[in-house]
Amino acid sequence: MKPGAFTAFLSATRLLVGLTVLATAAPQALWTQEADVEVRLRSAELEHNSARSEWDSAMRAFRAAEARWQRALDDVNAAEARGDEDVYKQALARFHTQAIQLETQEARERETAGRMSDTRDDLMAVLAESRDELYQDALDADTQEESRELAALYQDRDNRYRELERQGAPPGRIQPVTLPEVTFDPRDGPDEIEGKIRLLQLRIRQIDVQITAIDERIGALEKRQRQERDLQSLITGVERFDDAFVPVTSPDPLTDMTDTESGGAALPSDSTVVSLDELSLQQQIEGLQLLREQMFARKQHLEGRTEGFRQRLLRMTTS
Amino acid sequence: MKTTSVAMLTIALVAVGVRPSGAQVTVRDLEVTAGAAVEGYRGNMSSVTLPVVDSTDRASAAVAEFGTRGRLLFLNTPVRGFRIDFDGGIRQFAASGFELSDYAPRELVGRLDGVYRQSIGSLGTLTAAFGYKGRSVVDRPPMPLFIQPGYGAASGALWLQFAEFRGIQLDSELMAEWADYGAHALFPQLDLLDNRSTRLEVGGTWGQEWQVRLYSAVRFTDFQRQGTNLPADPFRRDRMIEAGATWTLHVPVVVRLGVSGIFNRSNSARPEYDAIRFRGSLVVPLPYDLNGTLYTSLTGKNYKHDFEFIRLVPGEEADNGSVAYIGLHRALTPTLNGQVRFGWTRAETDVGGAFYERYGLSFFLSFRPALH
Repeated sequence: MKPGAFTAFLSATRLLVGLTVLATAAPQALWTQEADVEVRLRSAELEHNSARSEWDSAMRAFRAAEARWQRALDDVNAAEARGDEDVYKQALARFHTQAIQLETQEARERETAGRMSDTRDDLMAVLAESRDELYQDALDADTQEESRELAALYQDRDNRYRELERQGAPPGRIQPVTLPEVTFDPRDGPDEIEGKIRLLQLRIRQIDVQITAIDERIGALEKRQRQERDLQSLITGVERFDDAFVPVTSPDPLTDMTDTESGGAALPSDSTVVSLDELSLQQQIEGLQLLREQMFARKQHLEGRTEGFRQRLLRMTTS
Repeated sequence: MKTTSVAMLTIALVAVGVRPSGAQVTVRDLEVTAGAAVEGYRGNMSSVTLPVVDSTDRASAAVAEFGTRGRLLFLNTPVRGFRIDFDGGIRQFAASGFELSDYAPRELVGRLDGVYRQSIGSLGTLTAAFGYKGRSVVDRPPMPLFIQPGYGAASGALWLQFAEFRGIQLDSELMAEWADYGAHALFPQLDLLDNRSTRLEVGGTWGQEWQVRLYSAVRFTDFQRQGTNLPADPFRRDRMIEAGATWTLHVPVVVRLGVSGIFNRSNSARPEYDAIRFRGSLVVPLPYDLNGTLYTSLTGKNYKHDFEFIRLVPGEEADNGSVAYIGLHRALTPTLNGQVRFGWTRAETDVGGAFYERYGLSFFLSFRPALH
């Protein structure tokens, strides 16, 4: 065999082998790719459903915590109206617990909402990929029947994609429910809307009064806290260098063991050192500050809804 | 003093090592104080525990001090809690008016207390505590500038606070303490003050807007280095009984008043005495956003046995000192407080019936960082 003929034979053989490999491997690659998309789609669906279920659960827990918060707040207001300081403190302590629980649930809702948003984005991305492939496959289909089948699949994926798009992302921050029954009704005329605006404004004024009362109480507690801290500062300053034990006595007993962190107000032994009640004062102040923040959030929410009604009223009167 | 240094180092490490924002530890009540004072002292007398005597009967000193304290909460639930309280400081004197020398004494003090609280159901709350307190003094001057000597004291306590029953809350405390005074090898007299003591106290508290507490206590103290010259009972042992009451009001002003009677008996005749002590603290709001504070302790004592010349060792029974401190406080910023303080002390020294007096005017700035 001539050398040139041998080279031509080798080239032809390589070409045949290449064509054979291509002919067998290409459908396999396409099939694998399609299967991969289906697996990812199934996985993304499961992830999203799980995240949505978690968010639903967190949302229900938040609403339950909010209802408990509202009842605790009602108890605080009732105790304050009665003027019983001890009952008020107990109600405030319970409210503080509910307020912390409400915050915890709100954080949990935000966390699950974030996860749901992420899984939704992932699912939409896989759906879009699958939908686009089906579209292309339908165009490339060998038979009309196959094309129709692929078009049906394409339509279902597209519907699912649009459904997710319509659902949108979960709310970034839960709006507190205050006066939930005051909503816009398409049958509302200007008088009804004005009535609803007045109702919301009345509630806003009530919240303002409550916030003012909370501020006054915080101010009084802070004043008392400062008094107790000043006395504590004087006494610890004197005792630090043993100036209160003269000339030399046995070192004073252990520091007072009262643990006002738990809200107790026990007294130290024979000492005239002021009780460290300020820590429970601190807890009261923190509780009231949290209450103030939450009341303010509700006020802002009501103001937003009032503004919405005003806009509708304006549109009605100008049209 | 090594023990004091260890305590100070521990306090420093705890203070530096804790992050306020840490999830495990909550810092409360942190306060850093710096101040300066001028003080005057009167009374010319000798002291058993001081190696030098000066002939002056008046002295004065400029004083600067720095201190910090705080509370670390490691666990805080209604059922149980654990916390560590720390307090430490340094005080430098520049004394004048002495005949012999211009002394410059310096004090270094530190204290660390750990407190564990455990609810025991309907019975109440049990609290266990341990603590260490130490101080060291450099260049301790002669009288009348009296400065406490250095010592280290460890203590442990159990406190049971019963649940309120028919408006009365009973409590009981058992405490033990070991005190070791830092005597110099060439001047061992301070070792006479080394002691071990145990104290049991029971009390009851009632009242809402104001509270009254009645209590009674018994204390056993052994001075293992003080001889009695009695071969059958060679070392001094004291037994003290105390009964008293405190009255507390929180609103509209913070007031606490206390009175107690003390009966000290001993196998040594010298320290047997009866005493009565009044203690009080008060804070009142004043114009210009000022708060006025008062802290006072007045003691009167009657020895059971008359000695023509009672030479006492400070600390064994000389607790008949009287002190009064008045302060004016004002918040300069939300985290910075100013304080002007006047202090007066009148106390018996080593020599029975001989008193020295101390006056001081101080200015302090206290910084309380916002930790929330």
